[in-house]
Amino acid sequence: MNQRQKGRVRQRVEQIMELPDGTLYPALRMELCGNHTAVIEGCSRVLQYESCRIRLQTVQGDVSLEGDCLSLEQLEAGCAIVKGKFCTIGFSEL
Amino acid sequence: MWQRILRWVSGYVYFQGEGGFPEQFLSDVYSLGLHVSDTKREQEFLYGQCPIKEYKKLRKPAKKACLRLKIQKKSGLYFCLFPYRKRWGIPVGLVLGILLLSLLSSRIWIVQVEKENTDLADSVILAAAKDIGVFSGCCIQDIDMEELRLQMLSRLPQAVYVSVNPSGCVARVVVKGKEENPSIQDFHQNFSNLIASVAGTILKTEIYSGQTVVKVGEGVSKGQLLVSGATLSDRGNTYLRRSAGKVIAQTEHTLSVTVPFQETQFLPQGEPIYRPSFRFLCWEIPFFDNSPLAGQFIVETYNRLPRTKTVTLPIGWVDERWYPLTPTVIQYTQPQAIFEAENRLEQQKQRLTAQGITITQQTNKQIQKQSDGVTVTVWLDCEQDIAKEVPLQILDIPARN
Repeated sequence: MNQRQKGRVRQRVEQIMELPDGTLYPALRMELCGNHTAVIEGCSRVLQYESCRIRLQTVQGDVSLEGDCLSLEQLEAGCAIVKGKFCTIGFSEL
Repeated sequence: MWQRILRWVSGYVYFQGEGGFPEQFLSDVYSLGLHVSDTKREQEFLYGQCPIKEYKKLRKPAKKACLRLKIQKKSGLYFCLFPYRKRWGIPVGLVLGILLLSLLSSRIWIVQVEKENTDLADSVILAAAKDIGVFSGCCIQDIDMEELRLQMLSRLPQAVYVSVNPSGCVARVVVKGKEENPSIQDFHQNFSNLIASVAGTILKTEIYSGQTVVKVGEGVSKGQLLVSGATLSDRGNTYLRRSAGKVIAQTEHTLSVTVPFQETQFLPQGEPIYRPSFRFLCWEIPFFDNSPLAGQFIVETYNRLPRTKTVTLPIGWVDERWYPLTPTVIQYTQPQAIFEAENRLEQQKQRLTAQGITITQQTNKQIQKQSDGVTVTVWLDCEQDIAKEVPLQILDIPARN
C-alpha cells in the first residue's frame, strides 16, 4: 500500500469514527483573523515570497495569499503565520 | 509579552539577506529546524530575526540559496552586558546585595511596644520579650506565637492581653493591662481601731466599718481613737470588727528650710566627655575608649536615630555626654539665700501633695536672718486623711472569785 492509499484509508477511518480532520491524517488547516492574519498548519515549504504574494506548499496542495505588505512572521513545526492585508486566498491541488 | 522577554534574555539578531532565492532559504531553514521569525520582503531584500546561537547555522542554507546575509542589529541581554564584561564588581555586588537583602529581610530588627491601660515601663516589656526570644536580630519564623503569648503573660502578671505582631522587619508587642478590681475586705477578721495619725479638726468622715466615736467639727489629738472596732449591739452585746474608713481633717504643717551663705554642692562642671557609638541594627559600635572613668558623672544620652511616622529605624548615632561632677563652693547673698530657701520649700510642698495631703492655705511665713545663713519657715493649713489602723488588743481579764 503506497502513501496515497494509506492516506485515503486514514481519511476514511476519520470519517467513520467522526474524528476531527487532521487527527490521523495530516491535513491543511487554516485560521483567519480578519483579513490581516492567517495561521496555516500543514505547510512544508515556501514556494514564493514577495510583499504582494506568498505561496506555500502544504500537504493538500498549494496555498496562495495575495495582498499588500505581506510578511511571513513564523515558519516552524509545520505552522506558518502570515500577516498583512489579504485580498485573495487561493488553493491549488497537488 | 513573556515570549518577547525570553527572547530578549536569550538574545537575537536582525539580519538582512540580499539577492539569491529567499523562498529556498526559508524552506531550508525550516527543514533544519532553525527559528527564523518576523520575516519581511522588500524588493530584493529579505529581513528576519533569529536567536544568537542559530545565526551561524544560517550560513549553509544562505549559501545554498545564494543569499548574502548581513547583521543589521544585535539585541538582547548578552549585548547589553558585553561592554561590562571586565567589571566583575557589578555582578558580585548585585549578588551580595540580593543575599544581604534576603538575609536581613528574614529577621526582626525593630521591636516596638504598644501599651493600653497599663503603666508598665517599655524597658520591662522589652526585657520580658527578649527573655522569650523576641529581640532585635531574631528570626520570628522560628517562634511559636501561641507559646510566646502564654510565656509573656506569665512574665507580666499585670497584663491581661499580650501579642507580638510581626510586620516585615518590625515586631509590635501589644500589651493591655488589667483593670484593678476593688478588693473585698472581710470585716470579721483582723479586728482593729482607727486612731488619729496627727492632730487636727475633723471635716468629714467616711466610715465603712466600726463605730465612730468622734464627730465632724471636733478637734482630735494625735493617737486619739476615731473609730472603734468594738461595737455595741442594741441588746448590749459587744461585737469585734475590723475598722475601715476615711477621716478627713484639717491639719497644720510647718515646713522649714535653712540655706547657709556658703555651701558645697556637686555640680556638673568642665568639658563633657563625648562617647559616641554607631548603632547598626542590633549592634552598637563604640567610637571611644571604653576604659572606666574615675569620679562622679551625670550622663546624658542623645539618640540620633531617624524616625518615620511610626517606626524608629535601628541605624544611627547614639551620643553619650558625661559631665563630671565637682564639689563647688556656692556663695549666696542674703536675697539669693532667701530665694533658694523658697525654692526648696516649694519642693517640700510638692512632696506633701504627692503624699495625698492637700494644702489649702499658707497661714504664716517667717524669715530668720542669721549670721551664717537664712531660715525660712512657713505654716500651712492642710486637709488629709488622718485615720490610721491599729490592731485591737484583746486582754484576758481574770475571772472574779
